Amino acid sequence: MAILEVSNLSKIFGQRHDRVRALNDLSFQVAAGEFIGIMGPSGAGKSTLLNILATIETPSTGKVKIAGYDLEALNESQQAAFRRDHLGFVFQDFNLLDDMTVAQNILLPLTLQRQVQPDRAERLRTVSQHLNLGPLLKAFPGELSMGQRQRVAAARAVITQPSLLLADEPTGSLDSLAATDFLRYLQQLNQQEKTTILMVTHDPFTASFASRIIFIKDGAFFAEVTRGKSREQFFDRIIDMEATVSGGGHARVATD
Amino acid sequence: MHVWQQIKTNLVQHRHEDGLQIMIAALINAIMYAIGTVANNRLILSDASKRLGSLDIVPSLLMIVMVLLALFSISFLLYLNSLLIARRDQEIGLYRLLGLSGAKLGLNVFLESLIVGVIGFVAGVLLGLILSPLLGMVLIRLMALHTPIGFMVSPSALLDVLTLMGVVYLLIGAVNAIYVQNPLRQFIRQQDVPVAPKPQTLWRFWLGIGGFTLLVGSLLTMLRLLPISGSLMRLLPWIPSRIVLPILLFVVVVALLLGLFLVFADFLPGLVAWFQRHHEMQNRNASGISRHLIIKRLHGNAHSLWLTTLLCAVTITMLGSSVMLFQYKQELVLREIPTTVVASGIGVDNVTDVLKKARVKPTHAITISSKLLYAEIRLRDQVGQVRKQPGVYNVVAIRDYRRAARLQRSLTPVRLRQREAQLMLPTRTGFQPVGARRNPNRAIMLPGSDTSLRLTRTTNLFPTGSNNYFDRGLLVSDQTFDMLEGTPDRLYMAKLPKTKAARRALTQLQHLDNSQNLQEYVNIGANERAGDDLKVTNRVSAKMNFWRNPIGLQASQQNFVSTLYGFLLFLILLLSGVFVVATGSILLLKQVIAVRQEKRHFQILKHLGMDPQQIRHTIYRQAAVIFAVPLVFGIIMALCVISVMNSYLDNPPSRYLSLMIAIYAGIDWLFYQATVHVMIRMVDGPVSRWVND
Repeated sequence: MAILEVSNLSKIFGQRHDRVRALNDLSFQVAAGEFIGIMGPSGAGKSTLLNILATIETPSTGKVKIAGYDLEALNESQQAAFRRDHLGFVFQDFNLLDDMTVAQNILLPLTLQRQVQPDRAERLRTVSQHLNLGPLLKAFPGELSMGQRQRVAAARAVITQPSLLLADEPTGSLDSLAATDFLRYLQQLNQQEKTTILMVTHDPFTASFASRIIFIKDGAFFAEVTRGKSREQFFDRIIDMEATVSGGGHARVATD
Repeated sequence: MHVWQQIKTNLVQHRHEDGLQIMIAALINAIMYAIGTVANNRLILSDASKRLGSLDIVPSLLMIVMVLLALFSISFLLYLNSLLIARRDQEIGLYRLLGLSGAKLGLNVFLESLIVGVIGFVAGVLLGLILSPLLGMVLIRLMALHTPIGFMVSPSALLDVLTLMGVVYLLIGAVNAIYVQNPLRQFIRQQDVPVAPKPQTLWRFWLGIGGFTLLVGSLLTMLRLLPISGSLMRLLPWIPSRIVLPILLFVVVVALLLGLFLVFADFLPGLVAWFQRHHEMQNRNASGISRHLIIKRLHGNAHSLWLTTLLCAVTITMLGSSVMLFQYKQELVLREIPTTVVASGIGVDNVTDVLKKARVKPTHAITISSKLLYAEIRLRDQVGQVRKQPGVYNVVAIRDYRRAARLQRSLTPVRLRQREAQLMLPTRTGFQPVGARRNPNRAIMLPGSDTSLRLTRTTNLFPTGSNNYFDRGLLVSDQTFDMLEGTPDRLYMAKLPKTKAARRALTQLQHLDNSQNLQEYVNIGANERAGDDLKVTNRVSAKMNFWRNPIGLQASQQNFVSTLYGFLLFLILLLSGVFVVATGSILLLKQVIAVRQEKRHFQILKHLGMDPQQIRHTIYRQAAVIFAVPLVFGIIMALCVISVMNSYLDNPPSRYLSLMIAIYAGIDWLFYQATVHVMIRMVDGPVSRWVND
């Protein structure tokens, strides 16, 4: 079942003379439980896509459906409710609230809902176990390492059990060790909790943790790479495809 | 050329901050200019001094207020500037990092400040030209003068304001120029350093409780200042009783300030945090977040809340007490001289003579007979001490009281049995009430008649008005009056028709009154104390003496009081206006700065799906708390301070007190609206986009 359907999506910025076409007739689908990577050179429209998926930007033409909801039909406060209930966010710079404890930060999306969830404590325990944050719950974000902070952000993103987790360069602020560590956790969430993840990155290593990678170029679908048996092979194919994208080659669909 | 370009960029970039500064500076300028022109207006001054009889009081008080305002505005503008310049740290750091020398940057900000000052000055003078006739009209109205005024241009006032603003903005410019010379690393620090909030420890909890206790204790002490100082005098007999009250007042004020600060720093945030923990089950939703943000705001603004609460308390105290004093004094005149003219002793003949010569027939006139005698009482005063009080009493029979009551409506019906008396005191509040627990069955000893009378009540209403009395009055039953021995005295009051002849007669009486030798004295020596008859003379011959003015004219007394107290009220209104604006703008500015820091938080919350409506509500509540807290605390404190004044004045009228508080709250509300408007606009932008491409 497709949890995310993007069909003929276009986004045009600016007026008459300086129009920029950020997205150009982009279509793809994501099935529930997938771990999708979005890659592409700078200016390919990755961020625009992410903003549209996050209901922050509206498309010029085309349709986006997430978990059966047509994003176009939502008004401002419905958009907020939709973000709260169906989306999880992991940002490059964590976006944690510095004056709240780790536990309060993780619980934030639940706190923002109108009703009190009876299983708050239960959910907090589960996600902090998954992301190994148990001993840090009482600490403040300022006292954590970068990797730990990003794990807190991930815990915050999955505590509502969202339909779709949007990750924007999640390893951009981490060193390579912490990045590997964090991606393993992300992979684990995807495999054990069946969280659907859409991750935007420009780093082939980060991308190699996904199960499928969609390359976009100039706002349009360029290619797709699906993971085979080993991550190392997948990584090599990503590098190849990156070279093709930036080398101006023709699109080819590589599948095993 | 290059420097000007830079300054132009800065002015455009900081137009909001500069605009605020210009607005406030212009307002201060306008008020200063208006006061200056009024102080230099010869017509108003000469009219006022004719009324008051002294030439210097009006201009010198105006000068004092101007100096006060100048000091206040200098410190306020400097404070404002220090807030504003600190907001530009990042920009200053960037300029310095890119190689602009400190000296050059200093010159830039110096010139920028001067430009702001010049604009503020020009705007202020233009505003002042409009404001000064308005202010003059208010003054004339309050002082009950009849001076015509028009536009007022006063070069000397202009020069005063120019000097003041020149000094202020040269100072501000210099301060800013020195500020930007600070070592570079001070500006290049991380802007959003994550700091864990201070945890609610037990120690801080007790500190907060202590602060609250101090605050409440000092306010309660203020409510019962005199009795408490009395008990202190008894408890600590080795301290001279004269300095007990000042020391107590000093301690109370220090405790009040300290307590208030601790309340804002520890008690209120602790209270809200405790409440939150206590109701944790209910708080696990979005209102919990907004409460969290409110606590944070209370924490972050403890200093300015303290300051603004004090300003609010001072303003309301000044406003309330001056308005009450103004009214009190006007009612006091009616108690002293209830009709057009009153007279006593030798004055009765003078008045009737003048009226007869001018062929003026009073519409109503009453002469009542009275007996003058010396008496001693022992009453417990407010401090709690019982002392022997000697005094000269005008004794009045109840039949004369009833006659007087026909003309003097405020006199309430009284019933007295034989050997009973009602005491008439001009300062009733100095004593505990007669007949109450602290003053049961007090008696008054009359040495001349070898008797004593039981006191039933005290009042501050004298038949024919207190102006006719030497000191105090005693109301007794008819039989008692006939029995008593004392020097006969006459008390007279009359209502005159509003004719030209009557006015001429009043002017004549005024001249008579002004010639000083009309005063009457009663001297109390050893003989009088032993019981001899009292003699009314026109000289002082003993150490203990009492005097009265045998003629009292209502109109001239009213004019004097209106002019003097109206003028004082006017000054207080001016000062209060400036204080209100200062309080409001401190709060506004602090909130805008806080929102600027919190903007990212709101963006994150919005991104995570906090309802936009809820964000707006949170901001409304944050601002409401910040504005309401100083107002509520300030009003409570002001009322307590005013109650101290109440214990010195006898039932001052408080009708206009609530009006003044309402006006203050209204202005505060306007500032609240403006603040919320600015805050919502700052936060309500679209959710931040990802811009990594």
